[in-house]
Amino acid sequence: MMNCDEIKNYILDLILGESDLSESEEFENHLSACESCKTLYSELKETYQTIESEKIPLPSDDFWNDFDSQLQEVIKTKKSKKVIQFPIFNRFLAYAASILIVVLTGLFLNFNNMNQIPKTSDESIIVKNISASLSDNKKNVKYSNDLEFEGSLILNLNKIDTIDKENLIELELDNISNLISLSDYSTALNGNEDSSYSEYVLTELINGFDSSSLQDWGNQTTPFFDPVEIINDLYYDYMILSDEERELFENGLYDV
Amino acid sequence: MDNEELSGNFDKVTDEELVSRFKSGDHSSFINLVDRYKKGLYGMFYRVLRNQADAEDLTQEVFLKAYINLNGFREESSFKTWLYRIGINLASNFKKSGRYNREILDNSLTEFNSKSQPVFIKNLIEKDQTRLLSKAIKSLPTKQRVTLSLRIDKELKNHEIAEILDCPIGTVKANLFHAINNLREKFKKMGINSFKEL
Repeated sequence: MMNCDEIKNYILDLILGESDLSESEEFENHLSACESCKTLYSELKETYQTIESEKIPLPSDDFWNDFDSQLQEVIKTKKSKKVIQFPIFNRFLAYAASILIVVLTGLFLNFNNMNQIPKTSDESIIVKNISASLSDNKKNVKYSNDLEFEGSLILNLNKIDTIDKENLIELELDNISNLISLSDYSTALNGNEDSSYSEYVLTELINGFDSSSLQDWGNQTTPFFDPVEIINDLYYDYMILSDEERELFENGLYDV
Repeated sequence: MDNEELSGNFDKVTDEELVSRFKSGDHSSFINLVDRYKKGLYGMFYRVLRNQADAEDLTQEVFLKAYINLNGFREESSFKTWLYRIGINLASNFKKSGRYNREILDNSLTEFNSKSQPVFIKNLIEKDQTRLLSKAIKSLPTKQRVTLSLRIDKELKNHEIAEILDCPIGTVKANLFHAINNLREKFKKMGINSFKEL
């Protein structure tokens, strides 16, 4: 028998047109007995249909015609990058690049050390937090204070030598991604007197290692800790916010 | 070159085949790949950025970037998810750039009430409702909005979105559910019962 939580899952599948037909009878039974799920279903369905049926402004035919001819021009003039591939060493390269970036990040942060590095909290506490969260994460326990963990991680990539590097590298990217959310980065920002500095550091990092470098590696999820990915992810989360959201976010009120 | 005709001939050729032709030097196959995905990508960009001119620009950029990097594409994911992933990266970089056109929506719109409006201003209301819808979608947390934008055109399945956003399928589903549920609540607050007539 489906409970209300399972019904929510089923509702989503149903709305997306991916429902398992064998469960439909059970679903109907639940709905006839549960008024709140019934209402939820009809409202969610209508909401989805509403956004689905939104007529977005489409480019004109002229745009697409120009688009094709311009692209052909580009193809004639620009050269597609020749890339030498080392598929066997793929994982190794990803690993080496991660380390390189961590080192470069360290240099970058140290270089700007004078009066600029925001003091979030005591260094030893930060390191402790990182270590604690890493071991928790290894046991698949959701760390209760992700915010502090991630914020510390971002601001302390340069201190990476002082923590258990082996553990860090062994973490699966999925687990790291789970720790990353807007609120995590929010802490990184809130801990600073000057939030624009974090933003600046991230901008530099992103500009230096822009997403195309990921593409060049072959666009796969590496099983290794990948700072570029993480920073990209965080940066993306933050930068895509509207002004209004950003204000909430920087005041720690943003609800993820 | 007549693209329509070209793409007609290439309808049954897989992306993988087109990519491999490209890698072996036949760069014209790229045009066919563009043809397959340009509309989908435009839609995705529009839904993420909510601005037509920006979406048009990025649609051009994504293919330029794909063209330049296609030789380095290792085909460990499908071409489609690779392309969308470049697109999502572009959208995020675009947001931080000065080029991003921050459309400021009129706050008074939130007081707009869809009930008991005379028919003769229907057009005006439609415009306002579209803007309200935009506003509601824009106010979603980023991950929810992006996930929904990738899904809504039905171009991509959940597992492909998971690949593009580099997260588990469960996360995609959770974000989709929260996005729709949040919109449901926002619509209620805005006094909108349905956009169906749009």
